[in-house]
Amino acid sequence: MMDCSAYKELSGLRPEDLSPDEASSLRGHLDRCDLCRSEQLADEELLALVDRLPTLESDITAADVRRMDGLESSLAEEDGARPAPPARRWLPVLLAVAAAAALALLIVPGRFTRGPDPAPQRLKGAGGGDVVPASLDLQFSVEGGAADGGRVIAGADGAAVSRDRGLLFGVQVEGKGRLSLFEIDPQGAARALMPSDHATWSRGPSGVLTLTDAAGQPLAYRPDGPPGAYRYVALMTDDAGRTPGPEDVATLRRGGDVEGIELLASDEFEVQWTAGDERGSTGP
Amino acid sequence: MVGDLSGLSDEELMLRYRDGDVAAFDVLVRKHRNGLLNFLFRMTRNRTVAEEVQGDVWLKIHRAASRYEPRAKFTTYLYTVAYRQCLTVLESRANKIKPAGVDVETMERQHGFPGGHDAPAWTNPERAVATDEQLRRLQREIDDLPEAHRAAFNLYYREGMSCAEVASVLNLTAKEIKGRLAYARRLLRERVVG
Repeated sequence: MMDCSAYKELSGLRPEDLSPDEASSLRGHLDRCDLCRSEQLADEELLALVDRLPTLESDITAADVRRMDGLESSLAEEDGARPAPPARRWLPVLLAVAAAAALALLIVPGRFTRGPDPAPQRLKGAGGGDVVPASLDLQFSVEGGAADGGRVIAGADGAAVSRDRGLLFGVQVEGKGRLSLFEIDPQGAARALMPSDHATWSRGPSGVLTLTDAAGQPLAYRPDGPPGAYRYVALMTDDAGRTPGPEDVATLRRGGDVEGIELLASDEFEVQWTAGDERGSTGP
Repeated sequence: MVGDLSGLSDEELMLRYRDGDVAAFDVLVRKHRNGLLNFLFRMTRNRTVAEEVQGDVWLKIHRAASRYEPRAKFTTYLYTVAYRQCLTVLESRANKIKPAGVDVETMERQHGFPGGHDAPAWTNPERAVATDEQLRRLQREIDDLPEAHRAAFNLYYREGMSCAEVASVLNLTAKEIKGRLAYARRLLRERVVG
């Protein structure tokens, strides 16, 4: 009869890795042992989680391999030297191959102008289906304007925003990360709107994240400064890094690197704030 | 040409390549490149290093093609080369390899939008947050397994190899592999599932 120790060694293995006697003994032990039965349930839960871990995709081809072989042979002949160490050998080939499409997991630079995105490199999700890399679509609506049941609808470029109303922010996101929102005033000074102690992102029925108060009511925002062109910038950054601050926005908008921050996606739009009933124009 | 090769086993493809059929190697690379990259990434925890090692592995396979004989499954051969190459790189770089700044997890589509560690109170479905946290913890705990246990766990549960194949790749006995898998499961179960 199988004891717990023997059971633990064989449980969690696939049937094809068990002999008929082992499989039978395992079943018999489970019928008798509550502890091992609960461990088996925990194992099943664990392995179900393992199946959900994401995977990478590779775009290396046999042609790359042969090209590299040829390149190394040429280098060896010309220089009489040993092939370059692995750290440098593959980079030129892979860069050449991946010229048009980013390798899975390379950071997608922030989009700072509205326009069609390049086709994203797809990852395989845990279930085997394609997963779209991080993306971000910052939207706005006007308080008292075209809002539907608290849902923020797509911002209408060209809409004027009067300061006797407020701006409602919404974000459509894909992927995971840390979401920050900034305002850049007409003088170019940036300030953080989110994260904030007074607001949160709430997911509405359409799946859009709306800026709301703690009770889930959409927050209407008005700038403190004078009328003029204000830019609103949403950044999605890696969870593992630090939260970007206003001092980081300019660099990130230029596509530069900021230590401790990995930019995953971004979006922005401009709003022409007018005073009272005065109406102006907006642009993307 | 690829259509002619579609029904062939890995070993048959490699033999075709040995005998001069270039397209056969392309089929092999396309078939196994994702699994190989993922294994190497899980071992090195660094995407750039994993890609470098993958290139080296395929180059070795390519250069040895003229001498290929199917003494074992092709995947056993492939992953044995990969594991040994991985060990070489890990030993030579010791503690200089740092986990990649961007993790695969950040790219996975989730139901909710989890906040960062110091983010304000995002409003998210509770179940999605719990699963996200568990997945992060699971990945960290797998990464923290001793190297030999991590290799066995990944080859068996993520690459789907049999105990015998894993044993062959890692140059261990099947009994040792079963012991390492049991240890890894227990550790992960305690730390992740609770």
